[in-house]
Amino acid sequence: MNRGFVFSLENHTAFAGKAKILDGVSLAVRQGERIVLAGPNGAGKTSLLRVIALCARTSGARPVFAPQDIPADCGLSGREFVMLGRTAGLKPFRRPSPADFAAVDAALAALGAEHLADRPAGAASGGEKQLLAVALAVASGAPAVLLDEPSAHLDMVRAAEFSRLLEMLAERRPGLAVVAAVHDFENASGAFTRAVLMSAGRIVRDGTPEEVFTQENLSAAYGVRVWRATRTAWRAGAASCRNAGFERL
Amino acid sequence: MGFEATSLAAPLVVGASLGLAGAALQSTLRNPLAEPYLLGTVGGAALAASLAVVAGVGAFGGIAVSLCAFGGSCASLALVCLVAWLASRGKGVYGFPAETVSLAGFAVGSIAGSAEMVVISHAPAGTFESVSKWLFGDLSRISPHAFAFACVALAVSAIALYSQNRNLDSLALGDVCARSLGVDVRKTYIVSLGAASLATAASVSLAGAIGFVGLITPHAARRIFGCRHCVYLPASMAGGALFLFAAQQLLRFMPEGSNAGIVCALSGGPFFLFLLARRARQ
Repeated sequence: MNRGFVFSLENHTAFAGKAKILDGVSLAVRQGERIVLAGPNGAGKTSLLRVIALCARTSGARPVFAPQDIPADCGLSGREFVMLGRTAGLKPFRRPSPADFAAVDAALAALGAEHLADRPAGAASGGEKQLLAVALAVASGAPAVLLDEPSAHLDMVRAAEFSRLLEMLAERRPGLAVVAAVHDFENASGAFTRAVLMSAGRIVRDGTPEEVFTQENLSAAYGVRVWRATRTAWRAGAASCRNAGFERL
Repeated sequence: MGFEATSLAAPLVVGASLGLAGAALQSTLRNPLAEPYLLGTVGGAALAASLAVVAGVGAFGGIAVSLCAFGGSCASLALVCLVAWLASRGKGVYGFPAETVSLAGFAVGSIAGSAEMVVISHAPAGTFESVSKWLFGDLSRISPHAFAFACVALAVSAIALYSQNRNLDSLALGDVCARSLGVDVRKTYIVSLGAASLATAASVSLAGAIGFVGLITPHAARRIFGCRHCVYLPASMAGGALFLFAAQQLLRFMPEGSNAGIVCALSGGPFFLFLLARRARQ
């Protein structure tokens, strides 16, 4: 593996039962890259993230799949929750070491989430839970963080804050690679250095966001006609929905 | 140890085992209705005990029947684990078949329970009386050997479970996240289910099926002490011990024919409803 790469997959195929959910996917990620993973539902974005988390070849520590939700009845404070990121290095009959506490506090500080440290994690708002989940992954010391639909439950203001969060992370943890599967890639594309477009279990385009998010590429990946509605937003049209077979419903 | 002392201490050991096993199962199976007997252990124990009594093992003393009951519990668990293992084969990386384990446990318990009825209905008169202990639970006729065995089993499973307390905490993040953090999720499941099963099987072979304690104590402990396993596991264990001990003392004031499980449900049920309502108000 080349220097600077934190993980790679080569020609990886995965099945769910008999259905092929990933079909010969290859992906290599360098230090500090922030990758947006886009594509229609069922394209294999979540499967790809799970496969990266569990089976990718790495040059050191594993990439960490950030937790997707904090249950409301979770009785942990923000700091205790983020400490779960250090689980593998903790001894069952001992308190966490000062180094563990330092890593947790540094991760909270890197995300500007110090104010959540002593509050119950389960009672935090959607955006705050997002911060804690990313802080947990950062505190683990992993070289890469995997985020599955990080802005799915966030309103448009919070979603914009999410892209600021990524920029802050890039500034304070420059070596950390981020791979995020998102649907509203137009909101966040400024925060990413690379875009990967998936369709039917394959990676169909891989490059800078400007190269990848073009009318032809998106129309091909989503199977409907897509056009640029404003400077930053994309739309898929009603006419194209009929072409895509929705009228058969 | 004298007979009196064993009878006094038995509810503590059985209650602690049930509280501990219930807590471990509710965490690993992610099922709020999970309880120590979910995995078919009681049905297996009662069936094995009846077969033993019919086969004349009772001539070798109570401990022989207790050992057979323990073997029956373990056999049911082995069957449940076999089904879960077959179901998870080929699924690869996506985690533990918690739902399959729960359902398989229920099915194995039902099969064993029905087979038990067939055995009893064809057995000589008096068999039912000798095996009713395993079906309905009985803390009054305690064999000292079985008691010593249950103490050892409880100690082993408590240490094994406590050694997994941080890994159990991390399971709340989801299997994929926990595994990516470097937690050995498979080992955590195996150790937790094994320890819970050992504690349950030992307590069943000692006192039969005591209902309610293993289901409710973990819920109460979680609501009062939170879900960090370093507190939750000991709290559930201590809660189960005290609850069953108190129920056994209350039993003196109950009419003939009641057992500790009934007292637990009658006294603990309202308290648990109070906890639920208090939670809902928040």
